[in-house]
Amino acid sequence: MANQTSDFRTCPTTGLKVHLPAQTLIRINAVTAVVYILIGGILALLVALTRWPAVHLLPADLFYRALTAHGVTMLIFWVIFFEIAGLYFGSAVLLSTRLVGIVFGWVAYLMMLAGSLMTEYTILIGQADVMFSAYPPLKAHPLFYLGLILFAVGALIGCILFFATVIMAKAEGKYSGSLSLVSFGLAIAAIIAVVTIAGGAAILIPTFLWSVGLLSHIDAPTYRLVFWLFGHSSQQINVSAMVSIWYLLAALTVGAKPVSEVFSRTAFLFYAFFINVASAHHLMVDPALTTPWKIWNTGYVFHLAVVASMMHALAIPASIEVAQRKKGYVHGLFEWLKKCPWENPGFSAMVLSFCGFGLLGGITGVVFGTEQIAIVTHNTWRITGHFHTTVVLGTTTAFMGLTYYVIPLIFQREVMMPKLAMIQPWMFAIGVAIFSIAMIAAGGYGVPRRHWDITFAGAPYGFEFSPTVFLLMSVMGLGAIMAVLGGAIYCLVTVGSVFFGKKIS
Amino acid sequence: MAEKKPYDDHVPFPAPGTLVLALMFLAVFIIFYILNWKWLSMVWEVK
Amino acid sequence: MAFNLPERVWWKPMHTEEKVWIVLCVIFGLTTFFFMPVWHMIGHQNPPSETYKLLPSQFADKVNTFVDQYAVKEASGEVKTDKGTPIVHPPGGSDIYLMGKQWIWYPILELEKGKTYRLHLSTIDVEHGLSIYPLNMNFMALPDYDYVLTITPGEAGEFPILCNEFCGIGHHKMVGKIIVKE
Repeated sequence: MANQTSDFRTCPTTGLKVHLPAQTLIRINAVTAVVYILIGGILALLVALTRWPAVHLLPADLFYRALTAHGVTMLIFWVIFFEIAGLYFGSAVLLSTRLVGIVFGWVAYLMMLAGSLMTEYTILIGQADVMFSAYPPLKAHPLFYLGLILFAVGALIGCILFFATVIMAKAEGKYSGSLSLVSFGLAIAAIIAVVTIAGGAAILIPTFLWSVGLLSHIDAPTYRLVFWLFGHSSQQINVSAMVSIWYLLAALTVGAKPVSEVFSRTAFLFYAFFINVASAHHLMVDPALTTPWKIWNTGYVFHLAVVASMMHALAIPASIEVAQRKKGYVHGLFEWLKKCPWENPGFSAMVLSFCGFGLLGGITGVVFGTEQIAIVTHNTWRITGHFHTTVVLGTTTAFMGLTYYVIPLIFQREVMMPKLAMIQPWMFAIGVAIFSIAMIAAGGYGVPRRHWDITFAGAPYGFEFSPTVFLLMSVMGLGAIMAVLGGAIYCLVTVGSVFFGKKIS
Repeated sequence: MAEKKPYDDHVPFPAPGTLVLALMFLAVFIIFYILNWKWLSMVWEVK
Repeated sequence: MAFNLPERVWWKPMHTEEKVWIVLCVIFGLTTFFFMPVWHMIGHQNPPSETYKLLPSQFADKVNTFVDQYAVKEASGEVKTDKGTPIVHPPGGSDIYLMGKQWIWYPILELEKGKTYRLHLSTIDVEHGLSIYPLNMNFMALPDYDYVLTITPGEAGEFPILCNEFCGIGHHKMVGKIIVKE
């Protein structure tokens, strides 16, 4: 059945053969992802406007609820739905082959959908005001954990389908030799995902049992250790997926080709081996862990995963430069850069994501995660600023950029409102950069994360942060509004194009 | 140059602009890293 | 292109510049890695690792004994408090206790500048995060674990302490203080 030629269409732009049942799955996962970024974005606005002291929008209970929902929606549901779409794309479409086990693809999707709705519902009715990290002894309603477990198992099935498709394609002779660099990078992301989801199961299942009363106790440091294998590593899936998307977008936008396959593939391999230990950097000022353990793990094993990112930091612009120079832009050191297609949202999103992730997110991540420096960064807003530059400025901007290609290639629609689409990545990325830098600076003054009121009204001993902090928090609010507008345009253009865009036959 | 052996060691790296950008990035990284140790060294002693 | 299958033989040697970049990055990575153990030898700010396991009730007992022993007394003989929380002045070099509970830091510690203390940090309910302002020093308080920070106040003054780990609806009101005397 699956090999019938009627199940395929040929993409007029890329020449790839697209498996239609896979295409439907990619579409539904991508659309769900966009719905979640829309919800997460509304929550982001509420959270930011509450932390902006001059506005202080929500009351305390709603603020903590919105913050919990924002974290879970964005860090788990938005990125993983998009990544599952990306995995099906990176296997079936890029290899011009069939997606193995379409039925399981639907099972995976329905489990993820049901799980995510269950968790969202539990948070929104106020039964899980525990933050994304949900550290016991804070206890949420059992459905909160059950929803996350269901979601994770669904995502695991998606990863297995990816591997099955890649293996099957080889067995059926659809390709020979090695995978393309993009598919290879996505395969690394899928490997990290399997480890991540195993970590999630290892901690969420006992925590679920505890929440229903079948276990009497969850050890706090054990939870923290295993939770972050899930909570942080899920962001390492993003890193590998995002870097793959950078290579993909560089190829789609300027025709870039990796300068050295060995160089780029080695870097991806380093991710697979070394990146997950980095989740230890959440635990640097925790009791119960020894100093050598902290150093070895927070140091990513001699910082080899950091070296990997820095290798991509050379390889990706180099591939763009080579492609541009071939087009004749050879004057001086930077003519190639000036003549890049900056008006193409796929290209600008890629560059903004790349620069933001490396220059802001990467640097702050390595430095703040250093064992001793964690003393002056742990749980302050410096951390919140850091991961918004990685997950939002990096991953989300890259995913947005890819969307402008997914719409014509997979949804077979033209992108509507091209002018708006052109400014969208700029608005979003600059907004995120502004609020993240403001957060990092305010965090340097000791502003805590996840905190409703830094004026401490009602606290036994009041004190005031310096006026600089209040200025920075206002800058944060303005940056956040800009980013949310950029995100809103993204949702508008995407949803508009998918449903009402001109059909490409 | 690209026609002959593009991966040969003797062929200069085809992206000189990128090299400059990468080195600038490394410099920023090092400066930020050192600054943070400096800031850390100003707080109370703890072990 | 990056999404097409690579040439059949793609494992060709890298450019010299690429190798140099890897070497530079590895040197930087090794430096940042080994500077952590080095700072344990030459630096004075290192995350403590001394930890003891104990029940929250045992920790609460220790805190109460500590408060009884070193509480600052008014002229009338009553324990001096600030907003209901006792002020405690332990001698330099002693074991001191700080307990997080929803939503106060207990007790108020009065320390002496330049003296070294063994600060026992824990919580009797949920997780809390100790954040000393304006120094911006941060440590975790976890239930069932006594975390010992060997700490030396470097300057005199009043230092508000916040909670920076979400601990429930009153989280933002959880402010205590440490007083450091000359």
